[in-house]
Amino acid sequence: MTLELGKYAFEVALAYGAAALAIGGIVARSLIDSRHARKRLDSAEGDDGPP
Amino acid sequence: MSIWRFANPMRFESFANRAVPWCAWITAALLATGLVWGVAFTPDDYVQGSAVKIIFVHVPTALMAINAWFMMLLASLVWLIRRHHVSALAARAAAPVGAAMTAAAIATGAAWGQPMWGTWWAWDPRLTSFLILFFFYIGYIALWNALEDREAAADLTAIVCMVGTVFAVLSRYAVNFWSQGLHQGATLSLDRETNIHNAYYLPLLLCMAGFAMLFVTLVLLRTRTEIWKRRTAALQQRAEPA
Repeated sequence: MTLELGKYAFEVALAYGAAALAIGGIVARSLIDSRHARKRLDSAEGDDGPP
Repeated sequence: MSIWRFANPMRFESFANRAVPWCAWITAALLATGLVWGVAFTPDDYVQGSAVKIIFVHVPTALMAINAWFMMLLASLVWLIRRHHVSALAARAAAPVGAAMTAAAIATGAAWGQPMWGTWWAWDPRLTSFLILFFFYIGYIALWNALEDREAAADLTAIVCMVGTVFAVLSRYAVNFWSQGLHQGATLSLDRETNIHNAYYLPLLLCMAGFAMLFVTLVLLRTRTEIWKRRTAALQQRAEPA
């Protein structure tokens, strides 16, 4: 294993951190939106899930 | 089986229900393998040192930033020609994913550019066309949200998509026909002399496949969400007293 980032460790960490923020953000947003939309649809259809 | 059967929102929803979990698992496997292999098990480059490891996230996100726009263009054309609502919703669903990919590509490129070029940013043809593409994504999303008439919003955003395609094409091919920029040529090439070294090639391909699958997963998920929102709005409208 050659995980020795040396003098560019900050730049590599910055790049992966920024990408994780952008991609993680859109994944989280998509999942939350999906869950809310499903709940609102169930509520509009008069089905709030099992009693 | 014709692709047009998915123009029916119920059929699309049923397909998405089955496909999303599979796509999510394939995405996770590809990204985990590709990124761990790329970051931990590849050697440093003799010129770039460990900064070369940024390509495993920069190249796939840049590729998907451009391809997402082309997918939106295709979906917009289907909307304009055949008036299938699911295609308009798919284009809308893809835009925030494409914007996130573009933001990630610009940020990772800046983090690589600082040690390699000595600057975070340069008004290089490829970088500039990418920035303009990002603004097109923001404008496209804003226009969808600004218009209440959904058909008008789908029509106008389809036109914005066609105009923005100029910058998506420029982003992809700028390095081939503009030689005065800082940005180097394409990382992947069919020419063995100019293609990336074999040590990085396979993990990079895995990461590219992983980001492509991530895009597919998110677009399916978000399009299904848009269908649910439309159905909820229709039900609420029907329930309101005349």
